Amino acid sequence: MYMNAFKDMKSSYLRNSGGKIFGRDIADRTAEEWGHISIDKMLNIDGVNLVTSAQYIQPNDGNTNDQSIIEIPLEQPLLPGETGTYEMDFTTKMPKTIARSGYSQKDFFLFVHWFPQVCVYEQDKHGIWGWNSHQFVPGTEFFADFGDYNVTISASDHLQIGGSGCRTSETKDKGKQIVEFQAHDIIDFGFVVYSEFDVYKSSFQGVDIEILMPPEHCAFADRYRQAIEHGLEYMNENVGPYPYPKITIVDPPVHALNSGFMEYPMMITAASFYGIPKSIRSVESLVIHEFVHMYFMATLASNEKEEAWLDEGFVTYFEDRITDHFHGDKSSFYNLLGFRSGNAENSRLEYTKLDHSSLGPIAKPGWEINGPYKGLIYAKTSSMLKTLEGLVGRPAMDKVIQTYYQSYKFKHPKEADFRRIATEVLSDVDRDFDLNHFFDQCLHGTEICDYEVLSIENIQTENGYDSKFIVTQNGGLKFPVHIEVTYENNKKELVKWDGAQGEKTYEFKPENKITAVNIDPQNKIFLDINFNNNSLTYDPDKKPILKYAAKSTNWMQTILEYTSFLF
Amino acid sequence: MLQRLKHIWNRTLTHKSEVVCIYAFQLIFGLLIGCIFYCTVDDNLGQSMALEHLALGFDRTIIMDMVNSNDEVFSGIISWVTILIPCYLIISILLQGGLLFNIKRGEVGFKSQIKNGVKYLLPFFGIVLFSIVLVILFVVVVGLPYKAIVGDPLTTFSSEKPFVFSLMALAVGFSLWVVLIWGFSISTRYSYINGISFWKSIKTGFIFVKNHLIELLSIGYLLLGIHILLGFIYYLIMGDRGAPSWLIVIFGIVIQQVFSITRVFIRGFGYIAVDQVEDEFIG
Ligand SMILES: [Zn+2]
Repeated sequence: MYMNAFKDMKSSYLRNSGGKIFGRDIADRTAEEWGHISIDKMLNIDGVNLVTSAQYIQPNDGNTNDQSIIEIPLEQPLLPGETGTYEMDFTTKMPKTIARSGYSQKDFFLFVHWFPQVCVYEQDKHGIWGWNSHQFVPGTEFFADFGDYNVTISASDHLQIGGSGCRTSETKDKGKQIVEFQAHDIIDFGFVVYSEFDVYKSSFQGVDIEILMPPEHCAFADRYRQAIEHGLEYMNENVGPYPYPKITIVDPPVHALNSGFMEYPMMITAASFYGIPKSIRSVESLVIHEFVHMYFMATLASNEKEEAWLDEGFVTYFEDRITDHFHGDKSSFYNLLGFRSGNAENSRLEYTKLDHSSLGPIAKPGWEINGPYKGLIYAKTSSMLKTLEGLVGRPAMDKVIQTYYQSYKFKHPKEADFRRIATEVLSDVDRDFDLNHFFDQCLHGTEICDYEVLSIENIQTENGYDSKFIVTQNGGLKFPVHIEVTYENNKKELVKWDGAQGEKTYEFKPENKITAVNIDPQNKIFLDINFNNNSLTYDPDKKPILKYAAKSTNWMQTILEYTSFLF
Repeated sequence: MLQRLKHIWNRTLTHKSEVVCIYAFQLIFGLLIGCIFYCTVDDNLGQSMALEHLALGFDRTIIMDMVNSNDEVFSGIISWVTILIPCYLIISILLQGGLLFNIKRGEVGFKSQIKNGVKYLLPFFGIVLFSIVLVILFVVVVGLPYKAIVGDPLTTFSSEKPFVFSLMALAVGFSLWVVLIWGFSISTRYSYINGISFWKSIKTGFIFVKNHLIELLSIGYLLLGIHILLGFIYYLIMGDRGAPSWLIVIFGIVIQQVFSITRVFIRGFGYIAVDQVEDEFIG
């Protein structure tokens, strides 16, 4: 009963929100602007109304004002293998746009969380069967079971309608339209209604693409279409075939911007703003991100409440791979006036900029994460996966993901499932680290990784040099790594290091002195929080420093010239 | 028209030593920041092979890893910039006041520029403050009501287009206002140099702007256009070349300085253009 989170400020979702959701004030709403949902009746096959004995429960926090979970006892237990058929009438009042769902001016409606969703009945990690029912609390998304949907929408005929699923029929008569949608194997059904939408339809690799956007955003239609095509092409090739016949992209108008940035099965909501140039590809990144959720969320329907990293983290990892693949790993996020950034680069920086002394593990329920949600769940997970890819190689990594996808599509995989698949697939890959230890420290630990070269020393002897260098791992994450040693004659040598915490000294008796030492020269360990201190050289290239110093001189001159125009 | 522009340019060239003097002061302040920047980055990256990547062009990872591993890395530079800018602005009143004196009185040379700049420093400081008040006036009279009407642009409008266009219109209005204040500020200082009292000079400045709206706006937008064009050309030439060789680095520095001094010449050109309009007005 997600919609009841928006019933008033007393719900568990809103009571600690500080009166703001996504930066918008919500506390002073009128009664009309809140939303709610109630079940009017739920009949079993014998026509007995079960709602009379229903009650709201609050398993997370005991907040009796929270009505996001309702427990409806059956007249008789439903035994394994049995089927129950129930008929339900419910009433939903949509709120003014809040946390995506609701209405905004000029008849825009995003209908999500508009119907009562059945919780998932599953085995917990101890193997005990039960309902996985968590309240809608901050820091969590959704978890639901797969189903087939037939949805009939009746609306005024001046409205454009889009949604999860495929349109199976459409009739218009006397100012009214009736549209039927059908979808199989989806965990949720959302739809959108707006009078101003332009609709762009195309098809790619057998998948229908439908883009709904307000006319002022028409410049983005082609960008969205291309982003979806890139996503489809890449995921089809590297993960598995897109499991649905269609994808709908909703671009909300500016007044409903809070409806954007979200994923629903077969339907995503993007976000754009008039005038964003093509060189700022955050628009494409977002569309690709939400599209990848069709794999990690819609198909591999992990519990987003308990293990959000399993969808957001994997999605970010593939968002980065797709955008970097099509737009370059140093320019896929933006490339404007000489400033540029790649998508994976951006994700890593989201993680490395965090205050690492206060970081918690990523594999824990959303309501227990009170730190930097995005930096941990999205960015640390994607950097962890990129690190794993660096350690085992991309082909092996792809095989892990493909096997995981094939094994668990249309199921609810958990951490243990992914780890088991990874262990099985990587068992025949030559590697020098313990996979279990890798996941334990990355998912459940708080340690960081920071390699550093401390010093290089060369003492001339009769036969050459007594050389040594000292490296250190400043954090507690332990990954094996290569150290590239460069000698004066430009010869290079690779040395292996287990990357354990603390200092390590390497001693050599080379003919030529060591001029440079570089840990992880290809930056495979993406979780390393500082690449700059990974190397030390006797022969540094000072040109860039001079170049940027000259630039800063020139920036200062320019600032002085322009600020003094009235002086 | 071209003849007139050529004449103004020729007059600008006769004041090249004053222009160079302004440029030299800007360069000194710029070099101060440049040196601090060099030392800061050298301390943090000087022995790292990351510099080899930076030599290929802008690299956000290198910059951000430096900032993340040392939060204070650029704070020294930023605090120096915030100190140096106000200091320069005071010096600028002197240097530009001296240039205006030389233009008006037909004198040349930086000695006269400095001497007379010092002499007029205080009254010109007053004119600068008055001009700044006029700029703030726009914010109060137009900006605040605009903000009140627009409210939260994300909910007020049915599309962001009217908001974007209204912002653009506001920017154009602001630029018009600023160009006129710029003309007023120069004209007022010219009047004061001619021996008219402070408040009378202010009044003359307003009258001048009122009578020469079109000329002032033409000059102002011509200069603005040249600056935008210069910025575009600069970007085309420099782009993000990285630092693959010393030749490229030195070439970059030369180009930067050519553009810097050109900007100061354009300033001199603007002053003389206003003087020319004033002369033709009086004549
Ligand atoms: Zn996401």
